[in-house]
Amino acid sequence: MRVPVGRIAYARSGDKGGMSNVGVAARDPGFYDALTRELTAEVVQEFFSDRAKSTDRYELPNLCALNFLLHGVLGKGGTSTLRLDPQGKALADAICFLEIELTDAEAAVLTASPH
Amino acid sequence: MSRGIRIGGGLGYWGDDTNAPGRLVREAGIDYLVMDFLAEVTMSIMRKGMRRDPDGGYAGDIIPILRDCLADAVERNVRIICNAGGMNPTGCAQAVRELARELGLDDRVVVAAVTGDDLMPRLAELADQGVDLSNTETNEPYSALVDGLASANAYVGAESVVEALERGANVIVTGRVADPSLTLGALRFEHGWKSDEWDLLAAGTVAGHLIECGAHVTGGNHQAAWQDVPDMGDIGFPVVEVEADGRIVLGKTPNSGGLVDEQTTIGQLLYEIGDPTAYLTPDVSADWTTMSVRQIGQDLVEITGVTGRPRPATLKISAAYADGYSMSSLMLYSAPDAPGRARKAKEILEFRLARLGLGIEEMRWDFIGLGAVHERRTPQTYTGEPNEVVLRFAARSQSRTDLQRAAVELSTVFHGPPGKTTLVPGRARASEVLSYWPMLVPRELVPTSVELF
Repeated sequence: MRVPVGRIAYARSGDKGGMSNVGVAARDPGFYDALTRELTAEVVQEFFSDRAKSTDRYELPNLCALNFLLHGVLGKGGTSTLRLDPQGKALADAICFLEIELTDAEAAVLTASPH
Repeated sequence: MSRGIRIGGGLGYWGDDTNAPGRLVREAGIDYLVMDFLAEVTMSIMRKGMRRDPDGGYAGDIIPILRDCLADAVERNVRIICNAGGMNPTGCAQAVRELARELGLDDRVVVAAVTGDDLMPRLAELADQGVDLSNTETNEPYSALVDGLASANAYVGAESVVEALERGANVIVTGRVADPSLTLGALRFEHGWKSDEWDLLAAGTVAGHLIECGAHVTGGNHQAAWQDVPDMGDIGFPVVEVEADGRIVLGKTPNSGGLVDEQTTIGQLLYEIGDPTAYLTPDVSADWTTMSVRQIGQDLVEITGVTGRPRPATLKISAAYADGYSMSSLMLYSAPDAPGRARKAKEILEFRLARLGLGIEEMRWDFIGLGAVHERRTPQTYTGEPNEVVLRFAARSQSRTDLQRAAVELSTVFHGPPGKTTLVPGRARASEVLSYWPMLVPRELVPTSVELF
């Protein structure tokens, strides 16, 4: 089943100079494997390729979360970019739109849960 | 085991609710009130403010906040630690001293100013000592800056906060002390944590990180389930109780709105981090990948198992340089065919601006209402023609005059498509741009000092 990331996870983003971090956490520990399998650095870089020069991924299995560093998405940084959302706070919402593939077992968990 | 130390996070940013800190002091049984006023952007703004008013340059909101809660804090023995000093901690401390006098608290308040983070007076000296002032993000050399830097502040650690507390201060105003180091300073002082007890310093850093965005960890900005947050209009602010062994319990102002759960906690933990195995602060390299987060009661979350490694040898410098001017303007178009009208307006203005041959470095057009924020990531299912579209024009130039000329040209679009409404009266105005210039400096070259008022 294809679902947007937001169905199985939530996210938070912020700025560090011209870079933005986007943290993505599974809504249920049972979805962490799907996140790590589907949300590779390459997939995320492709999703933001019109803005990001490169993307690094880090894993936080203890929090069932991933952290992405998107280099260059804010140009020279929050004070000088002409963009709306100069501090990249909305990148967290954007990543939740990315569609990923769930296994049948994962999809079953999703349809059984209230979200 | 000693009693946990209770620390309230009274503020998420400069401009946040000035009543929240007082409520924490009066209602949350805290030992310390910590307030983080500074962001990367904030220091640049304060620098600008100081050019207009040399006695300013600090977060003026500290005065109404303390007017509301200083007497209660003194009464309850709550100590206050904040980085409201910004570019001018001494001026800020003097203003707090003046307020204490006015409130009749003169002999019960010891104000400390922490200085030394401002490197502007020392840049030449640092360069002479062989410090590399290149931009660590872009690798541009310092010599690329025609007019040099406009501000340069080192992120400094908890030591000076500990010193101020040891010297009896009960209101501490700092400059660019790193956000979590304000909290860590209180914990090091109370629990006697040494400057090389890395796991404990990392735990204190996590505690500080949890509360440094104020109500973002108590249900504000709760991306996981914002619709489920109760009574958001009366949202509570965070309180961490931290024990001597580094165990943290996160809660919030009693009888307030909002919520604290594992998701709000994890959301905040993920905020503005890089490599989670090495969250670098001036005090420690904290590891975000060993801790456990567990709900232990209503609006109570326990965080244990934080570990850390030795602090970095260098301090990060937050610096900014004058980088020309920018301007933006909003033009609202209404139905029918609001998108078509906005697109035509853009076409006309692009033609007219190009004809003027202005020295504009960068120009940007956004169609607000048509996916301006998420751009190509806007889901296809979000269809339907909006009743209104806002055309936004933004530009950057080294020439203020050229931007002002562009602003005049924008007004000609009234002779374009119908249905235009002015959103902001008057012509758009050019404002100064301060761009970011990150650097690293060996820590031993940045001594801080504490002065009491």
